[in-house]
Amino acid sequence: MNDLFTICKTTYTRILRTRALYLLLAILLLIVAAAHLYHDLTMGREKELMFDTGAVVLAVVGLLTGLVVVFDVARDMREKLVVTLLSKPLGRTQYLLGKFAGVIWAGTINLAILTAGISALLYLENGSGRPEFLKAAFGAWGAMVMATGIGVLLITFLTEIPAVILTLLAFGLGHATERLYQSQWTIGSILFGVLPNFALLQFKSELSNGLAVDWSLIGLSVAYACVYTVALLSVGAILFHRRDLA
Amino acid sequence: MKTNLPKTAIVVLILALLGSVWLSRCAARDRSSIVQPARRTAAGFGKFMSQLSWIRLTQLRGAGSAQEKDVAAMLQRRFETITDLDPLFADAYEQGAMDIAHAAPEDALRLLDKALAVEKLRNWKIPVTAGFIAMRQLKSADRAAAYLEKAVRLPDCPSYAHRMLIYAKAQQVDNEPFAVLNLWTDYLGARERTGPGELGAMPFLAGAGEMRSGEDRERVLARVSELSQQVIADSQAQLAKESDPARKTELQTRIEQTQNIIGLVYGGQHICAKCFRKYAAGDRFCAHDGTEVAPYGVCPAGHVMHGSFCHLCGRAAK
Repeated sequence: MNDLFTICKTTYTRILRTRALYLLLAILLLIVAAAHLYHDLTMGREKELMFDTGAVVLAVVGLLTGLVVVFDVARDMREKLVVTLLSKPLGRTQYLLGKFAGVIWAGTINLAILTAGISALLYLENGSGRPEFLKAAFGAWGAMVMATGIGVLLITFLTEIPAVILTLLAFGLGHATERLYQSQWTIGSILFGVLPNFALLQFKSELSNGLAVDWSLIGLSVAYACVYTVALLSVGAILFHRRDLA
Repeated sequence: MKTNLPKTAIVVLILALLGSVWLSRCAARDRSSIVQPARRTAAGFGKFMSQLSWIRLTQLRGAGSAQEKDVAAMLQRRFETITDLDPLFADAYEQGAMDIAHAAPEDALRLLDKALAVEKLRNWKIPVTAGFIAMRQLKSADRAAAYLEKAVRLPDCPSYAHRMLIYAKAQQVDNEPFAVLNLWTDYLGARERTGPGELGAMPFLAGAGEMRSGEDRERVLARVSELSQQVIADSQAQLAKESDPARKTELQTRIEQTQNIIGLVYGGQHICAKCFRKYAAGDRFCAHDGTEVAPYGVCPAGHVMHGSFCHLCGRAAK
């Protein structure tokens, strides 16, 4: 367990030590704040635009976090760091889980900073808080966990470029799998359960348009993302166990 | 540890997969009652894409005349795209329909029908806009009435939508004065009966707080007076020419019913016997048609009273 924490700590420290990251977060907050200037261009919908831009920024940061793990593991393999690490009494699964947890931890901190910043901007724009933005943030966190899980799974048997492309593809297509829920075919129902379903974590339109979304639904969706990610990591562990790292 | 790992992972995989299948179905089931699925997914960025399209469309709307058919067709396609990306974008439906209503009224109504089909979108402006277009552009009172019936059942629907519905229904009966008078009287009756605590019991008036305002009431009373005057004048004119006893009885009954309506509406108030409009204390002639009326609230010297005794001559009221 200590090995896992060490890998986790090293990963998130390395990510959070990157100065460009904070510059990027500041730029993203500026982009959200710029929605305030769009009163005329949106015909008075700048408040909704700010909310939507904020939610999109969280989703993008979550997705990019999923890609960070791909590049991080790929770099370790390219520089033969994995071989060095695994020559010590460290299991492959511990390594993978440590990388995953480190990236998730760093991503969570990034999302928390952005959520606090965007909530403050929304407060300034509306004159009162928009607590429902927190629900969108939880949805984005769930999507980040799932995207990172997909990234981890793919990098265990692919090189970085195909893994990145497939992670992006899974994120895009994962928003369309919700339609399979209504499918009359058995195969459609099975695929709905097996394929990643990012649409279950999307509440942007409803929250932005003032519809009430219960916390219970948010909790259920995030629980789904976490459990599905466990399944992804299990497959990743099996594949990584059999991979020739030499 | 290493040798046991795949077996553990396989067990975890099976359990997690079963759990995720169950959770996904539960989440999808709960979600279907709250979330409106978009026609275009756009990888989860549909709402944001719709906002960007809206900004772009705002420029296009100013660049061309929506009265030209090709411009209207282009605008309609764009509004369709926006509402496919975000089915809850009420402004896009409403403003889009108003933009293209002149050149393509049927397309405008199709856009609004699309909005009405969105279960989660309960915005009174959509059916009111549809009713307006049906009445103004298509001159179809039946379609307008159908849309406006939907509008008045929605929360926060303002009183003018109720009045628009009555105008549409009046057109359905060819503006026959007695039928229209009954429409207005029914509305007034419902309006008067609906106290703040009874709104839930009358869903078609629910949320119409503005309707209880004095302005709406005055408008309705003016319309009732005008129609009553017309019904009585028409009936009396026909009665003078009529020879058929059955028809005479019918006309007489109509006059009596109208007078009853006036009695119910203005019960205990001072109204002009000719135009059925209220007159003020001290008035000797009706301000609307100059008919002589019995003054009230005056002292024997004819001064308007402000209390029990005249403030000018000190005498008590007549």
